[in-house]
Amino acid sequence: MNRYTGDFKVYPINNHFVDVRCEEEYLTEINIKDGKIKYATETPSSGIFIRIFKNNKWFMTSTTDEKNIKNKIKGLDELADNVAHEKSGLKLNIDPIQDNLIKYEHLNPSKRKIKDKIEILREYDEVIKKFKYIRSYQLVYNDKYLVKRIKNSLGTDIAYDKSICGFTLYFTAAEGGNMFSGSISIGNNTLDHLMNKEEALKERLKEVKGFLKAKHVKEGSYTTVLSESATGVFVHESFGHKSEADFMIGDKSSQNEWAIGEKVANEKVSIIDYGGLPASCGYIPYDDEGVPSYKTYLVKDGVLSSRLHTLTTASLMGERPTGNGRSVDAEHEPIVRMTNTYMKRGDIPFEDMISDIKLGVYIKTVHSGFGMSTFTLTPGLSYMIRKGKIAEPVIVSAVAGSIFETLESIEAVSNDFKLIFNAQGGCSKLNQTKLPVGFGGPKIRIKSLEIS
Amino acid sequence: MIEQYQKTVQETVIEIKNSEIYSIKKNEIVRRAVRLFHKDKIAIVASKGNVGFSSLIKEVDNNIRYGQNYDYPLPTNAIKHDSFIRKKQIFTEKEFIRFGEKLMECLRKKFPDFIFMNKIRFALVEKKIAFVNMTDLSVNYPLVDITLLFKRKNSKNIFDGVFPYLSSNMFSPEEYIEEMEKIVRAVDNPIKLRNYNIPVAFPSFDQTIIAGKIKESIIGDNYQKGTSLFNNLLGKKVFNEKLTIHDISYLPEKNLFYAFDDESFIRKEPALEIVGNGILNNLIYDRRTAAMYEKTPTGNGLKPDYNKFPQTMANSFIFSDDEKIETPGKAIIPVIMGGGSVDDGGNFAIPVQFSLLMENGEIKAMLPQLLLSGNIFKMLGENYMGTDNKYFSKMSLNPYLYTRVNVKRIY
Repeated sequence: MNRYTGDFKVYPINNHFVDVRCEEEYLTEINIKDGKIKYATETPSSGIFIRIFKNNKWFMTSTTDEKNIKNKIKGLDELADNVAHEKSGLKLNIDPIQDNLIKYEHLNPSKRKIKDKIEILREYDEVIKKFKYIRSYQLVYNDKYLVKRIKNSLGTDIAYDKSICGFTLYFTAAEGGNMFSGSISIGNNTLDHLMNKEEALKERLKEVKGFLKAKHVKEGSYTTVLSESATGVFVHESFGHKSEADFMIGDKSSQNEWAIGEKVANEKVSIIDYGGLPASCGYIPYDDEGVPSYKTYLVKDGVLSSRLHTLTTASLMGERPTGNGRSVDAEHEPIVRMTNTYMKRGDIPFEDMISDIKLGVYIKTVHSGFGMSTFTLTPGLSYMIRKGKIAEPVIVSAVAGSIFETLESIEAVSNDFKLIFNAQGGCSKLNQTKLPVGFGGPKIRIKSLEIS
Repeated sequence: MIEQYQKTVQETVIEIKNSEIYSIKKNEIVRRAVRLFHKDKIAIVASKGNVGFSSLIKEVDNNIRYGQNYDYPLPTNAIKHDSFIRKKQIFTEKEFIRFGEKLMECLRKKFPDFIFMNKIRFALVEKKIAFVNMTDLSVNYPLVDITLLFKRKNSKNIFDGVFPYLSSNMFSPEEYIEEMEKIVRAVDNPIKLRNYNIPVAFPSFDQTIIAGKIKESIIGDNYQKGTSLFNNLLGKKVFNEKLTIHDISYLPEKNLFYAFDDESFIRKEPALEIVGNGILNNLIYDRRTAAMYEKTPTGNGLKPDYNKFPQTMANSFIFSDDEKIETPGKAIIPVIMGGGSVDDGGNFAIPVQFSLLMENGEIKAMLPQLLLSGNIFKMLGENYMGTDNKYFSKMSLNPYLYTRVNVKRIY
């Protein structure tokens, strides 16, 4: 494959655990603004992240010089001696694994010429130009081919690759003095999967027109139905982040609140995090610590079942690592992150789910979300539900609720399902931003949410 | 014509979990980019790591076909070298680790009922941009960035509060703790108000999505295309006559170190007046859009990242007021505002996850989660109250900005 198949070896230093992660990335970005190519760039990038575990702490560095790995490890060992010692009590629970899962070497978009990618975007550009009320727009395309090699002093040697590509249309529509801004994303793991989506784009752009004259929702509590993508954002922002064990370390109240075995939701609710799904945005067969990606039920049939871990948080809490130690690139350390987080589908058709709602709100798309013990979603496209039917478009600024109260008040889970793939977006946590993740689920009906 | 861009960051990062040092990271990363200006096109190629300029220059030709169009004069004779790294004022690696250990020790002792987490970082940053034989610009500066999240030990939240602190000078753990104490004490005093219809004091209005919408709307290209909040309002009154807004990238005492933008443009005056006494006076342009609309570049050609082309972007905003107001009796200080939206008419709704109550100029208590809503023109127009002489922290860029918006308790 690439240069990081190089024959470097990783040994323990003075009996301390060492791991080394090499990453090689090929990035393409194309920007078409108002019909003109603004730029097209290709950026190769590489880096090596090195850690040692000594005196109960991690010491870490990154470099771009693979010949220098040994010296860097030695430097970290010396750095550790500058820090106050603690008694070692932490045992990392990791089995050595050897595996090679390189599978996108020939399929990934970096193998295709930039002009092929521009031609695909041109097709979509022609579609956009036909909608005269789209006053200003940018079509932003990204692809990334990433190869990782993870080795440690216990004998782990894992190689895998990952391919992401997609585009987002950022637009401002204007007509008769009214304006509406939004975005539409299409993503997948190979270029061929991005083709022939013109009809879908047309449908979305037609829908935008209705929002040019949409009125603001009357503030209040409404029965609310979340679409598959909105369910995904809710699950990720509100519940997924709360399940990340690094925020629970040393904090009994968080651990008690996240009491495994406690019923927290309708029995139809199951929430899963799983990085092993091929062709998903959050695909990782192994995390950045060499732990296999497990299918982790955060909630199973309404009952809290697990939390997400790195090697260290798992050791500190006496639980099994879940394969969620991820970093955004080779400059950064693995921290607890989600992969693909989704709610399992239920058994009710969407039409039946809304048929008895006299007055409610349907959140179709979401710009962003934020969660602590409560959550807020910022919707893109929303509709009123009147007398059991989807009615007029409406502007909703924010949807808010308490995480656990909302989980308890999920009344119905639909029988459809989507896992969202957004090549431009990503999850941000602390100082590591835009980590590719998948999110999704079925449509869900919530008894009451605050809508503004 | 070749432009060479290089940004080097040397950093030591101490990660804190459960009020203890959990990991220490040492990094030195060099990012380089080359832009080739050839006939009517610009191509860019970039790399992180050991790839030198000579390799990038060989590759950049390949990207020229799909490069950016250009039709504007290139900079000449721009030379400036700023160094803000003074050896006596900065930490060595060992000193910084000792600082981190002492800070944690002090925090554990002072606030035994709280857990502290996140990172403290010390970085030396150097940026260089040069057109061979024509321009030569560089700046270097140190930065200590302490953004600790904290929570009460019995709290159900992931975290309850945050105290960001940025400095280019050495300081003691005690200084930081003294600044932070007022916030931590307030978190220890959660209250609910009967009436939320009181002024709102934004501690860093520059960072809000409302300021973001204003920054987007002063981009010349957006204004000319009719997609700005301020359509047809250039030269007219947009906000309260007391309010003046400057765009600025160079104010070293407030950790703004860049006297030049990413297109080697040096402003004659570091601050560009956007709004003067309520009147929209200036828009911002990079070199490309300035040529397109026959305007002068304003020093706002900025790269979103090292491997990207510069585009028109606002710098930091300073909000000023000729006469300072008397601090209102009570005010809400919104600190963490995650999510929310501002529409194209300036209507906004912003959830506030962490807010504080100020009473007679002192931070007194923590408030529940709130939703702020209103309209930009009204909040900075008839509802704008002014700024006083108080700052959220010593390193805040702006003093509190007081205004009235709709405030609703979410939970």
